[in-house]
Amino acid sequence: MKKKRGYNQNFFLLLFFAAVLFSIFNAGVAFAAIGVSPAKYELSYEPNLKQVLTFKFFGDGDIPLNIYIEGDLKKYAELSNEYLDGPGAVSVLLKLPPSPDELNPGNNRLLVGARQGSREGGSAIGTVGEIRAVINLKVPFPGKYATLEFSTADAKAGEPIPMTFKVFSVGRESVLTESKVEIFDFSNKKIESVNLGNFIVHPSTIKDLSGSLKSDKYKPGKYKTKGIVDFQEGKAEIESGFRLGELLVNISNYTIEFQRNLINRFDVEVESFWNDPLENVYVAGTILEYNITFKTPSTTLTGFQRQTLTGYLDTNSIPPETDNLKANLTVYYAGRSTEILGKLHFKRETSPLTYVAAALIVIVLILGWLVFRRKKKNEAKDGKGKK
Amino acid sequence: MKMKSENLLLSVAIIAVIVSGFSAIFTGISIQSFKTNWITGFPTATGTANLSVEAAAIINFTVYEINWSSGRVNTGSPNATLDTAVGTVTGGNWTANSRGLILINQGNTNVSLQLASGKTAATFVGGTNPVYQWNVSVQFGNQSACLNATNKTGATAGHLYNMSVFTGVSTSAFLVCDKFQYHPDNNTIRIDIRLQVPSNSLTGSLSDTLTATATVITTRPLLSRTVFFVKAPPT
Repeated sequence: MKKKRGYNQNFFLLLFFAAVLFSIFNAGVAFAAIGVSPAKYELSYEPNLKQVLTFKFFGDGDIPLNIYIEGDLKKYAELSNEYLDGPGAVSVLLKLPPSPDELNPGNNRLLVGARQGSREGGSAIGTVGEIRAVINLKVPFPGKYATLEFSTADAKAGEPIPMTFKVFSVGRESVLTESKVEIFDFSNKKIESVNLGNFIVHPSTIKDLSGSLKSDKYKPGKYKTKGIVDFQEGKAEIESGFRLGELLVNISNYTIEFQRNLINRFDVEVESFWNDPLENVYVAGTILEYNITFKTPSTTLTGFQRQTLTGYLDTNSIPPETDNLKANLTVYYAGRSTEILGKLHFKRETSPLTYVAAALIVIVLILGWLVFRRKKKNEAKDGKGKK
Repeated sequence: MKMKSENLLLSVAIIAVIVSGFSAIFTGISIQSFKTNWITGFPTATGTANLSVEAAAIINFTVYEINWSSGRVNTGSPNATLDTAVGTVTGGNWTANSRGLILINQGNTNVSLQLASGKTAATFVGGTNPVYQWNVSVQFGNQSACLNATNKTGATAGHLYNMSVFTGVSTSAFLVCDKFQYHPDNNTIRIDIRLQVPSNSLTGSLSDTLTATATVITTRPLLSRTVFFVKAPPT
């Protein structure tokens, strides 16, 4: 029994400490939140439409909320309640007029808002949150009326180009459409036209022709696009564009051997991986240990061109005991740069003594060979005589 | 005896063979059924999973009040400045406060954000040349939390608010962010307050309330759209 009592005591003690810890950790936590769900409703006009739309407001449990509506549709809407003690639901009864002519064509908004009551407390600066959800009503335009949404996005080289192409019929009559996308290169030359088809778009509907364009025929670069919708009575266009691949210029080669105490020519070969011409491309280099810098003149690289830029490196201040150098080489182009670390060395200079020693060795070898040959001849002569 | 046990053994063996045979047949049928019905390499039945996530707009003041406790302007000083951005009190003996108000968009939809004060400098602090200013800045790493109408940071025509610069408060709703984003890496802003309390200010417990109003943004395409009417344009 004693054991059991001890066990119960421990359990309650643990619970108590847990509660204390929980309080301590939560003491510093201060929140003031307000929210609404759903955040919006999107509706299309219908004559005499009656619809109840419900919003759930939530936030700090002990703070009351004042509910209100405002906007274009206020006179066609009724709130179920204008006050909530705390989190709760509010309904809006929407009663639309029999004719769309009584409303503005296009988007009509009704804001359904909740504002927190003031928080109690002695703070110098306190806060109140207010949140407003939206009911968006699309009212059709008279006759035939359409809007076009078009855009293309960047893509990696060889990958399809994302494209958004939507025709919205926002009038009261259907529209017959012929849609296409035209693609232009950096020089504004049309390189392709993609036909998206002929469609009838009925009132209050969207014809979504979004998808992707093939890019396997295009080189990396910047392109312009035009979304075109031909209606029977006219045409609508939107311009967009995309970038394919990465704007990049690399350093593909550079001079590695130099002479001491001289102003050396330093060649750096750069290569563009971009279709469009790039102006004002130049290379700057720094010999890291001695802070010697140099820079090449600027040049223009055409699409995918490789070119050698020439700078000059003064090695006069480099001490004789240094054989190898590290150089930071950076090519600058179109607001970007590519950097590499180059390894350079001095030409190995042969001392005159080396040549003398080599000559002596050769002479000794020749003399030795002559002596050896003579000796052989003499031995042969002696051999014949004895016979 | 021996004969009997042999017979028994034989019987058991026969039964075992029969049972094994039935088991083998059953297993074979099961495997066949499994192959044809459970694993086919092509769907014999399709199901559709539908998930609809409701948009919710939520703003949350994780720091919802600023306090400087009790204090006064130093004798001989014309005024005192209380600034939460730098966390100092100069010319007075209030307790310095370096915590600005922190507001987070915790929903899953972008909202526009307006701020309004309850009082002006004159009605909040009073006295000669009082100053009551606010300054909205982004938290470190949340550089794109608050965008203007062109989806960029900074002031634009018609939207005069310049983030990170103190300006006088407004008692009517002032648009601070055309787009207050909800992305977890870009959803937090800080609101700092600067007060200049003159020596002849109002006395007693002074307080004001800032109202943050978030309005859901209805989706619009990021790029231009053309409005084209074919006939019968609206009157």
